[in-house]
Amino acid sequence: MTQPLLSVRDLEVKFFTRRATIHPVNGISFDLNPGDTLGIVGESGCGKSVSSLALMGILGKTGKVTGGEVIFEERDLLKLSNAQMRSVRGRQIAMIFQDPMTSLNPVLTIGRQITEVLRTHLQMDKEAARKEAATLLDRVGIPSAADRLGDYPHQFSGGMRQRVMIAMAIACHPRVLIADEPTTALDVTIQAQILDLLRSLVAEEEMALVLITHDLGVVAGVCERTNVMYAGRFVETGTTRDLFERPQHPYTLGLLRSVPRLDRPKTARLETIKGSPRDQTQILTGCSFAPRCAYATDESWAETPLLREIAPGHRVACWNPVSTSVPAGSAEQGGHS
Amino acid sequence: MSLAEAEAAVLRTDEPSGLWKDAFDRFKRNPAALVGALLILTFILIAVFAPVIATHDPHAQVGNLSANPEGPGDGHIMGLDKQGRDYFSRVVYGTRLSLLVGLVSVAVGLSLGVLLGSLAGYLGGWVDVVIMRFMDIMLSIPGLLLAIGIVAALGRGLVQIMVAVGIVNVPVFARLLRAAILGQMDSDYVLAGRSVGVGGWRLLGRHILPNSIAPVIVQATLAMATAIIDVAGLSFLGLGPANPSFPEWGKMLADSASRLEQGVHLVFFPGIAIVLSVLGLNLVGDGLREAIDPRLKT
Amino acid sequence: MLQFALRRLLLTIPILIGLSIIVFVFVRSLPGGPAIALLGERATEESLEQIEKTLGLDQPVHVQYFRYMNNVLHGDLGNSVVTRQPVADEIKRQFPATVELGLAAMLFAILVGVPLGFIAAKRYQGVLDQSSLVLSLIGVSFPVFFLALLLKYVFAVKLGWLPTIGRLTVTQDLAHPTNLYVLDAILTGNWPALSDALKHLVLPAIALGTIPLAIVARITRAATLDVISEDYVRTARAKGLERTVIDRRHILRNALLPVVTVIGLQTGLLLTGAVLTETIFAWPGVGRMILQAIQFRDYAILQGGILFFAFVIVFVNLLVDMSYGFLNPRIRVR
Repeated sequence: MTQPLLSVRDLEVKFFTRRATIHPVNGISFDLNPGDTLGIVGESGCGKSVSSLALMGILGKTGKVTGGEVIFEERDLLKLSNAQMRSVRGRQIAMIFQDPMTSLNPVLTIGRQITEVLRTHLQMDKEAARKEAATLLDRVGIPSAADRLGDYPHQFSGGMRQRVMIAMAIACHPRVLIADEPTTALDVTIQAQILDLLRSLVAEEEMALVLITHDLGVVAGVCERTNVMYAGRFVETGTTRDLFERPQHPYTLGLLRSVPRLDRPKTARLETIKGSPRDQTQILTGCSFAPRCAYATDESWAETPLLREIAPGHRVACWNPVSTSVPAGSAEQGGHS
Repeated sequence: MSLAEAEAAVLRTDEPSGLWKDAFDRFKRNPAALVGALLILTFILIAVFAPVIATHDPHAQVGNLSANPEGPGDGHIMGLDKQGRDYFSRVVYGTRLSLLVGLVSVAVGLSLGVLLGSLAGYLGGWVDVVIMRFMDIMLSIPGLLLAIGIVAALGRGLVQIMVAVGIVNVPVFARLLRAAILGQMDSDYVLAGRSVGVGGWRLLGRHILPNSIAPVIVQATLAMATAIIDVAGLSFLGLGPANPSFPEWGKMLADSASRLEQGVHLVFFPGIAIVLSVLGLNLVGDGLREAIDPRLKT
Repeated sequence: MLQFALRRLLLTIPILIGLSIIVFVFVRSLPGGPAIALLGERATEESLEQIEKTLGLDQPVHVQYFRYMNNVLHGDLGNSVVTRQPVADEIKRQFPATVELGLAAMLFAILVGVPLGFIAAKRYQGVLDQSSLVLSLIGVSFPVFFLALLLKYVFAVKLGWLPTIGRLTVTQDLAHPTNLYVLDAILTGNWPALSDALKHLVLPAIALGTIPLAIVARITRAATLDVISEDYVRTARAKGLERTVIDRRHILRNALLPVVTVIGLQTGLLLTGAVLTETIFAWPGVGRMILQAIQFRDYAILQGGILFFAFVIVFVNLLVDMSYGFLNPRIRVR
């Protein structure tokens, strides 16, 4: 088998602040091939965004990668100098962010913001860049693209702005696109449009897409595979279908169950996952989900489970996966929703 | 997640404490603010214990009249001035004047400003418009110029410059109060109070004003700093106390400004006194501002 | 854009009117009054009345005001009580000096303050940052006149590197097309005069500009810190842009917006400081003119001078407002 396009191995990230050291990412690994659509799902604070920032090398002053490697085109990105990494960022690996309102520079025209990427990485001259920018805007579905190059971000609606961000990201035809909660700040109807756009772009460009979100509905529509993240680790990985139909990790099960459904009786209570996200300054022994888990056993508290293959292409990090157990003393049976 | 969220995750484990205690703690941890507090305390002590600290009577002539007065030397820590008076004692007694003047001017500005601002904020309507327009006009004339204008109308003198500087301070406090009050008017606890029938003045006095104090305290400290500078400036320009033997720092600077070679100590000591006292106030004012609202990065 | 400018202009008119009324009333209430100032304190009743009639001082205040404003709009600010020359001429003669000093001071404040604040912010909590904070605070705690005196003493009196007073050495020849000496020297290619004029300008400009510098540095630092943590800077980094480009086009462009506003607000401070600085360095500008007017009870000059200052401040603020609209597209394009 050929080398994967991007290979992340045991990535570890820490934040060093004056008060405490924080451990957002505690060893994650995944591979990407061209055309892959990978979803990373988890609640706020699980480390999903931090891991991609680390990958891109834009962690900021207090964040440091303390372990692991990111192999892209036979180089470990983590070992590159900033100058070398700069030629990868925006060009080979691109990223779009959650809030298009604040992620665009308010005092520059969007035309400028797109052409600067083209001119920096592809050395285009002004005219060529402008033309290309108009083409890109058109491609992402902005009407009267050429006319809108001179407009400012505040003159666009939220959905349009996100399209602009996508245009900026794919300008240099990157191999990998990381989308960090791209639809969270948008209306539901616009969400669908943006996701459609992403899907078609992935197909056209043959790039790999990493879609980070807390919303299961989003991955269901777009991602072929999904990794569920909790407390800085992947707790379950597999095809999206497998995860939805046969969730193995209690957390995954909890996530699925907590989505309100139209076909349940109106009086049914919303399901929640009890407890709250872990304190990131502590590293606990044992499974980090144990405090909130209905399936926890003694072993869960004692030792941290590693990802194990429980079915072809489907792995889970759990001592007591859903399909093989019954929660202690609980009337609920493990199973699917 | 961002660093801020990460820090928030850490801070979540702290216990909630009172607002004032929080602010006080933050203030204590700020070295610059502590230095400022120390400076201010020193000056207050000097002012209070002036008769003990000063080595001579500030008005008494102990040396000769001289165009080239002696610099620091035996018996006279800061030398003599042109009238043969001990300079150190004059600087020490000058502290009393400066602090007094600073306090009074700020008091004048604060009380008037708070009154006007409260009226504007609470009553709204045309009262608000008229008052604030007037404040805007006052604010568009720079402080010292306005003060000069007022002194020109009132005549020179210590009281007059205190009033002038006080009046100059009014718009800032008025604006501050009005903003604070308007901000509070929409808040839930005010609406709650009103809904159970708590009357106007009571609401204002018992509830709204106490919650608006914090920025006022910060501003008052900073205003005192500018007051001291402005008053010294007015004295320097010859608009201050008419009595030449008053040891006002600004005046002392003015007297020695013309021929610097004759005695730089004449200029240096009162000037440094001004700088240190104002610096102390600025440091404390800044420290207070940060202590009360640490989110501000200024 | 034009609409924006016009709207701002209209808003300033009531302020200008209010200002002129206040100035007028103040000056009228000066102890002594213009008639006595003219004739001296031993003047007789009749001659006082005579003068007052001639000057129109016996009319009710509002009539005087309207006559005065009418004259002002025609460029006539009255005549100096002391020199009998038109006030407007006097102002015209002196204000280039103040403009030159003010511009030099502001330039100093910006050219040193903005980079200082910017770098301090980028190296947040580094040595430069901590010391810049302290230095800023010390800077604003220095009264202008004390600083001016100190600078004068150290550099002019003691070290003798720079001249103590005036704009130009008496013996230096210079033609004055603009009355801005530095500019004049450049325009006429008079290099010795240029060096002379610059030497005279340095100390007063630094003295006057130090407080604005402290403030500009502080605001730049705060604004830069705010901007650096904004999402769009993260986007710029993710796009792989060079550091200098990010600094310039993304961070600085946005951080400068509040700085520009502050610079406008500084004008008032600058003019006030000019009064003091000009006096200490015997710089023949409007500031010194106003001070002398107070001392000599020259109400006409005082009134004209303060009015002039006030109008300049309002005008500069207007310019700043408009340039802010130019710099910040969100306001510009509705």
